[in-house]
Amino acid sequence: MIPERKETNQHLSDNLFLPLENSSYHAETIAKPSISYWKDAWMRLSKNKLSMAGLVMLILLVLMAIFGPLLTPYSYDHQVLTEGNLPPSSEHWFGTDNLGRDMFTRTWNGARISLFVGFMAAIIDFIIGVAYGGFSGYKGGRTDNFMMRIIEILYGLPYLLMVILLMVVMGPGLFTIIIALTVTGWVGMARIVRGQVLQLKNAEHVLASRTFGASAGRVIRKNLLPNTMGPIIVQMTLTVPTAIFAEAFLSFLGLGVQAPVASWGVMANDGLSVILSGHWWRLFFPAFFISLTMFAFNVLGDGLQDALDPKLRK
Amino acid sequence: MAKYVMNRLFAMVITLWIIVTITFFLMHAVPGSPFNQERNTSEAVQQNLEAHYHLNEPVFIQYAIYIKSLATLDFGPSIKQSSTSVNEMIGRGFPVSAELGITSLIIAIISGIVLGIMAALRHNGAIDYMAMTFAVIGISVPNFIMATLLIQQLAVTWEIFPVATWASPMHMILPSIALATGPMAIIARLTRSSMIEVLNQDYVMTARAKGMTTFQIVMKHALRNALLPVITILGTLVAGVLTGSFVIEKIFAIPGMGKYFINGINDRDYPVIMGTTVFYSAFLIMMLFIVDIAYGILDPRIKLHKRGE
Amino acid sequence: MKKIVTMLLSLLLLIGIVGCTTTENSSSNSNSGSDDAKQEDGTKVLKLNNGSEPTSFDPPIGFDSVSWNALNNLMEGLTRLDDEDQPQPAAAKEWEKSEDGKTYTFHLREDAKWSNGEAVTAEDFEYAWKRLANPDTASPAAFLSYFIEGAEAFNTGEGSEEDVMVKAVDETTFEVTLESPVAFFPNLISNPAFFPVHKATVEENPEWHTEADTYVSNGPFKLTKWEHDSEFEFSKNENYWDADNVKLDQVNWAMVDDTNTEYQMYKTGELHTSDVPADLSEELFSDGKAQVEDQSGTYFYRFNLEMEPFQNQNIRKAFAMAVDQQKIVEFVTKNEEKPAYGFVAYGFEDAAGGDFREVGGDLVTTDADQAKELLEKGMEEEGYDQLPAVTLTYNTSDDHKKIAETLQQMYKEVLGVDVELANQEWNVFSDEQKQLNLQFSRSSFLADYGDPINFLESFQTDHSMNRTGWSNEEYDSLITKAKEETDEAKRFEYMHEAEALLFEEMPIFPIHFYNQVYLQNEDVTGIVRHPVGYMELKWADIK
Repeated sequence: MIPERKETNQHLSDNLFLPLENSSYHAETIAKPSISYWKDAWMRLSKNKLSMAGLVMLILLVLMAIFGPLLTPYSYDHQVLTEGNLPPSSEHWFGTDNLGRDMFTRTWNGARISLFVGFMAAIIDFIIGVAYGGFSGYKGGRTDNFMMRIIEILYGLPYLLMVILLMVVMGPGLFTIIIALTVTGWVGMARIVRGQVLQLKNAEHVLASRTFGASAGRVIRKNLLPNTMGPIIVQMTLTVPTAIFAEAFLSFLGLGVQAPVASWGVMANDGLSVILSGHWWRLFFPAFFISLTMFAFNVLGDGLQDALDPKLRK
Repeated sequence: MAKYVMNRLFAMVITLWIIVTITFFLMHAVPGSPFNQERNTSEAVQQNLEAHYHLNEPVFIQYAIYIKSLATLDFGPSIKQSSTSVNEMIGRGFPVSAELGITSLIIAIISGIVLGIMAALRHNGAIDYMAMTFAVIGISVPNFIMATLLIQQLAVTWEIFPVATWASPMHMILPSIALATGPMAIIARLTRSSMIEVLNQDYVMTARAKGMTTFQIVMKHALRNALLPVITILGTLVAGVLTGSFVIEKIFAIPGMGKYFINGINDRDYPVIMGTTVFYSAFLIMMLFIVDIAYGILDPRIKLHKRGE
Repeated sequence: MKKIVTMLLSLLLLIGIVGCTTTENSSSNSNSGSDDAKQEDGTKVLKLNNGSEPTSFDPPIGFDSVSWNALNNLMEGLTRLDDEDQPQPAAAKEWEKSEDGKTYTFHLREDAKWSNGEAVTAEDFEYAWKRLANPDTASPAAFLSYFIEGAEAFNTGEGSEEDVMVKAVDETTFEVTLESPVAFFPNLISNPAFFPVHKATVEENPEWHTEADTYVSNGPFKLTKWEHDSEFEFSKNENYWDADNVKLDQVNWAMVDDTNTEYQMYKTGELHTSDVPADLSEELFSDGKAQVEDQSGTYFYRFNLEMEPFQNQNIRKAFAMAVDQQKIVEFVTKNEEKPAYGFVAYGFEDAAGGDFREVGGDLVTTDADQAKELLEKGMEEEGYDQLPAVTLTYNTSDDHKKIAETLQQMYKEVLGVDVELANQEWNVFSDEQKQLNLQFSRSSFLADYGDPINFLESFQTDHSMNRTGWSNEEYDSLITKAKEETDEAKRFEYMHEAEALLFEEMPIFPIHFYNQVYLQNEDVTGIVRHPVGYMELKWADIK
């Protein structure tokens, strides 16, 4: 148990509580450290107010995506051509777009796609990227060499071309979007994890674990990953807005959900010329919620990083 | 080490060849033709055009012809701009893109790392929050919005900078900032996160206990290790930024090579697609190689090649 | 808790700036384009935007809008369109037409000169036109030469160069024999594809057209600088026969591909003209700043007659009549286009001086009740209990999307039909449409020359522009007759008949006619924008 040594010491009271809880837990179950690691992480996370706020925000966003469109009498695709570009008012909370559709309803309807795409991209990138990068870095040598060349090929191939072909072969839809995002999305994560693993695999605690005959999977999971969580989480939080905008780009090629449904990314793209025309609400609301999502992921991610860092365990 | 480098160089050629081959057949598999246009044309005209560019030959023959000319580093003529060769396009566009790219990379790397370190040192302090908020905005406001806003505010309303085109150093400022914001935010986030981790390592604690100042600790011990994830993403970032950004170049009317990547594919301008892909891939693979070398320099514990091999 | 509040506040603040600045801007829109356009030293320099790098300045190759605007002012054909879009003598000072209308004899001006000082000869024209038809040139405009006897055979590899009936009789006399009497031939040859090239230069250096210092032209301007992908520059051509009437000293062409940027450069005086960004058209029209010029072309939709349910004429008509063109131009495109109720655009005069479109009248009307009736009738004819699923496909663009979304709503409200939308990348879309893989798709037609026949010939059986699977023998024969006819009144009659037949069967329906919307610095005068798509700077001036 290494005491927390941060610049801010006002959390001293926290430290007084934690060891008690921890030790009582240990006394009851004589659990393996693996269980207590995640439990402990969650407990530490729940103590972090900022991260909890991020979590609450994400839950709220998801709830609004589900129920938001039901809060207005309008449907996301109903046009009233004579009521185009109205500013926010008590009737249209977020104003209307150029075809007179209610922006509030459209924003939350779009949230469904954007949040789904963002979450899915982050999760898939995490799974493939960590497994691939972890394995490559841990094995090293020839295996690493070979696996990294495959990544180079994926980087080098023109993405736009791949995606157009994918669209022609699979047709439009959410599933196609997810595939398109996954094809190359994970390579960044894989390279970061590999870099970290290369650095850590010769550290004392890892060497110790290997000496005791731990399997590769176990060493990666128990010794390496917890110590590389920081960059992994940052990379994951970066994936979310990237995926949200990539979805807009992919709908441009015809891969995505079809009009009149519009995701946040598509709305932000459509609304670009409002910077000149002054219909600010058409750009502001989608852009704001993308930022808010990103913000929530970030503070949650930071909390997670602190919570998962074995060095900070109490 | 010399042998390792040789091996990597050999692997590079193989990787490039695989990329060239896949791209070649991929682009011929995608529907469309370089001669599709909204206007009226006739069958005979289409056939003449195809014959002119040897597109009526079997794909394998076309592939053989292409590989042959590629061996002499000749990318062939563009179909869309028939009087320009792809070599000329890259020769004209790359210096411009690289100039813009290097400027914004310098901005992004320096300010990103400084911001990240400051945030990590004041973990959970006011600076940390400001830096993070800044990073969140930087990442979640895409550069096309950023660019349009910058032009509208600083060029049209305040008339401090010219709106667009590539004529003087003053013309470089707005696009460099617009292009740097995203990478800067990412670098700041990564630096901060790995810095926080490193600052909690035993050896940093020891250094602190020995009475070193924060500045000394950061420069001597922490930064070196904290930079690893940043270096990892720099490889692809440098390749991406230096070969041009389609969006920024379009908005600011900059004659870089970013547009060829997108327009080449949109126009099905086959030689342009191949040329830009080969150029970019070679550049990227080179950068990734440098990153791997940099790993070893930053952290001597990392061994990419077995000793004595 | 305090931390959370601080962070959220700063986030709001930063994003708020974005919001505020955009509101501010709408008010600052007022001071536009009124900067003094003239240079300080009194030279007249016009600053225009070409959008992107011209495809080519070689006349038969640069067959698109990014090459035409420049090409039309660098070079000069036998005729040039005037400010009323009528062909006037240019490199030719006069011409005669034979009795049967098939042979034209052009007399060139003695003082027509190339920018290198040499005379423009009939031989240059003969060489250029044969070059246009030559399959080795691979000109995308070659089909325009098919009006000339022997050109089609030569271009398709069945004939030889000698049989192309263009002939330099002497230094200044140029004779052309046509396949059929083409009344609009003087109009047709104002197209850049028919511009002459300087024979000696082309033969000596095939790359002559790629750089400014080797470029030889015979128009009002000459190319003095060309930085590829960046900008190019014209200066007045002192050797031009009508140089006295050319008022501009210089024209600078930028290559700005982004309409927002173009508009912003216009506002700061870096450009003298600009397109109108999508969301600003309403405001700029109401302020009287945006100007409109016709463009010969039609925005329309194609039905695929080989796919259900559009094999049925009544169902096609129902889908056409359910559409409210007026509403689309007024509330959706907002660009002051003229709603289209026929296929041929405005601007073509018949022998009696009437406009083709006005004489032809409205061939399709917006009528919700009749549309419903026709749909029911059609479904009965086909034995449908339920209409087969309909997918409307468009190529990706914000403008096409807006119209598609509006159509979708109109079909829902008027016909009670739920139409699916699908968008595709341009090149994929184009391929699929040609192969008749799309059921119901967005289309456009832009005229290559100023005659209604150009519009109507598209729907002949198996024409490359047909793309509907529609075939009608009577229609084909009407088009052939119109092409053979020498009597103008009769020719127009055939064309009216053909157009009426097209709308009787309705394989397509129109949305609106194209136009050119632009902003122009108040000091700039005399720029002529032709409906066929190119610009005339010969008479342009800066006050």
